[in-house]
Amino acid sequence: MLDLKYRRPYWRETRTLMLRFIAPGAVLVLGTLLFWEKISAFSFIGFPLGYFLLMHGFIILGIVVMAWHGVAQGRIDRRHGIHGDE
Amino acid sequence: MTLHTQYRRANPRLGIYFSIFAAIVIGLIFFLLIIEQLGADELSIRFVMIGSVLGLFALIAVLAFTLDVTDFFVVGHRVPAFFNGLGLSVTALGSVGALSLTGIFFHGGFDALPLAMGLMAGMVLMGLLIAPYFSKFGAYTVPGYLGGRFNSRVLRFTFAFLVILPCFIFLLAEIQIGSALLGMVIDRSPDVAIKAFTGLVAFMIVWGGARGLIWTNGAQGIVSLIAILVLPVIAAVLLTNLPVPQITYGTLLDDLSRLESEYGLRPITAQSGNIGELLEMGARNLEKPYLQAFGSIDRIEFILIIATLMAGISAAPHMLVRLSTASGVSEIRRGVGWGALFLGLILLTIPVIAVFVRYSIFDKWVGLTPDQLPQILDMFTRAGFINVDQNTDNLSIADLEISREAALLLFPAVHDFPEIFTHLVVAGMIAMALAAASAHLMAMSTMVTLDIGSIGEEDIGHNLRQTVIVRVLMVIFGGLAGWGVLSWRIDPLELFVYGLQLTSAIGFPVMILSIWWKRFNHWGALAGMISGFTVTLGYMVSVKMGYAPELLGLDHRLAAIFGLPAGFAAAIFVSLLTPAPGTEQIELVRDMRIPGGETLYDRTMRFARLKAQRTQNRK
Repeated sequence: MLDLKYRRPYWRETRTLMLRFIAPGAVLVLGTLLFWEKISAFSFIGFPLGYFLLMHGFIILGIVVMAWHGVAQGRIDRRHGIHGDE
Repeated sequence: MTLHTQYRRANPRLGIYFSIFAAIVIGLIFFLLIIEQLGADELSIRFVMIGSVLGLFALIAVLAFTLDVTDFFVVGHRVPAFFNGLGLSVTALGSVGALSLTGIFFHGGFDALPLAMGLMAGMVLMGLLIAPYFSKFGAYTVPGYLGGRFNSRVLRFTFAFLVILPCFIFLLAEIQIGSALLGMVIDRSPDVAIKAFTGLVAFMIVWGGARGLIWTNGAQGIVSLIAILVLPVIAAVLLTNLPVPQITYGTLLDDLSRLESEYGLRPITAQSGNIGELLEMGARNLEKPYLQAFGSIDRIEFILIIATLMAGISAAPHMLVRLSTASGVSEIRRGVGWGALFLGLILLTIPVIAVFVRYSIFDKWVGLTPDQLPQILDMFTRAGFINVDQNTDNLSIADLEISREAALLLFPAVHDFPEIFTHLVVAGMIAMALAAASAHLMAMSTMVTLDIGSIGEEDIGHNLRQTVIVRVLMVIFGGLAGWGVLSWRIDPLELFVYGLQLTSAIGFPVMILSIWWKRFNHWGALAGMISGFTVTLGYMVSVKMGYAPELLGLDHRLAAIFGLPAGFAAAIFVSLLTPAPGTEQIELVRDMRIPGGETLYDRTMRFARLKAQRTQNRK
């Protein structure tokens, strides 16, 4: 098991990583809703921009966040020598 | 330092088995397509398609039979990420989610967005905040996790007791929609269909428990993905000449808006606090233009719907319990990643289906006479999914009443696809209902056996007797749910939303704090879950029954908006007022946060077993 003194930095990195990956979704939703009137004037490949951002933007962001977070967290785990696969 | 997991590797031939399954299903579709063109009648094609798919599920369920206790509860901790992801995405939505969401996109257009976003956000939040740590703990049930984490049997019992209610509500919803579909296929009275469907649900898991659940869910996931994802691509090429409809259906939206205003659809007047109208069931006409934003909900409610659904999905016990079946923490991260991918694909395709059906109804059906409509619609009319006014020579939008659940089912018919594709969609939706219902039934029976029934037993692992009890309970609860559906007909989507509100208020504050806050103790957990549950259920029941007015104009279907803060506040205050947890518990949290190695649950069991052995030797 990892020593206590190495656990703290590991957990700090994990927590920052988590926050960094939750923030974009919140920003996307709140930003789009806040500037709805301005945004909905534009359209993008046939969609109203607001609809596109909330529908495609949010869901694709979710998929990307999960994939990217998995890779980044794996890198942290490996650096601390506690990756479950090895 | 390397840490090895003690578990067996997954069967390397699994991928081949499921490829064979997918090949059989695709082969069957092509075979029936040929037979249909050669002039076979609709009834036999319907029976062969749905019967053989259900038969294959049943075969997998029987083959998953096991006498091994670890296999029965957690599939020996060796399910590959792909299959966990497939199961997660299918159970997150369920047939209720898929059918009603398409219907709400079809009827409500833009206003359905927060429902889709809430489901997706829930999956992501579960992957980031809860899943890896829960799976490192390795408990067989969610109450088992809380009981072990706080070393408290009372907590374990209370949580199981509270969370049974939403599980049962989900089960009722899925059985209701599944039996409605099955009843349409076998063309019998609803009573027969409900009994048959409930029997099927119990059959899927009674042989192999979690093992049966995971492998049948894999197969059901494949069928429902084929049913949802393939047809829109074909339709898109026909309608817009572009593949990948998920990105390109925007080109159709201009034409759709033009048709809508041509046929007299006017923007509905915006009213806030009208989620009820959005979720409304029953056959109804098209009223609202697709792109009108914030028609029946306002922006605040938009965010509140996302928040409650998100919390509900990420703390749902029937989803979390699946996570214990993975072989390690990085495997579960990958699993939830697959889950997010599949769920995202389905959620991106659902509005495509809604828009295409809407467009094609305007484009193809309006102006026909009722007998020019496809024959297959008779099946939907008999089952009450749609209602066509027969006394008109010139169909208008007002003559077509389309219920919320029918939008997805109509997709092949409205594009004049061969009838086999309609049956494929029905089969996919029955598969999804089976997958979700069996997950709820499994979660319920396991919780009652291990967390309520086994209280007081020495906790040194699980035995064969418990697997027998779980099997018996599956049949009992299945029967109870079937009886419930027979007695009360409540809108399945309404039940689904109630269930999510309850799981979010009971589970979310406790799960989040138990992982991310070390000062959290079992008094806080107890207070958090009880106050979340009481506030949510209290608001829901009192407003629904009319005993109390709506607070801040919020619908009773969003009760968790009060339950979630109440749960968090009670959990935090009570924790701070009572003594801090001991070093043993703090150590447990620290271990839980580190991936790799033996799961904590197995470690506790091993120590307990060693201790019991030593006392026996001393005697």
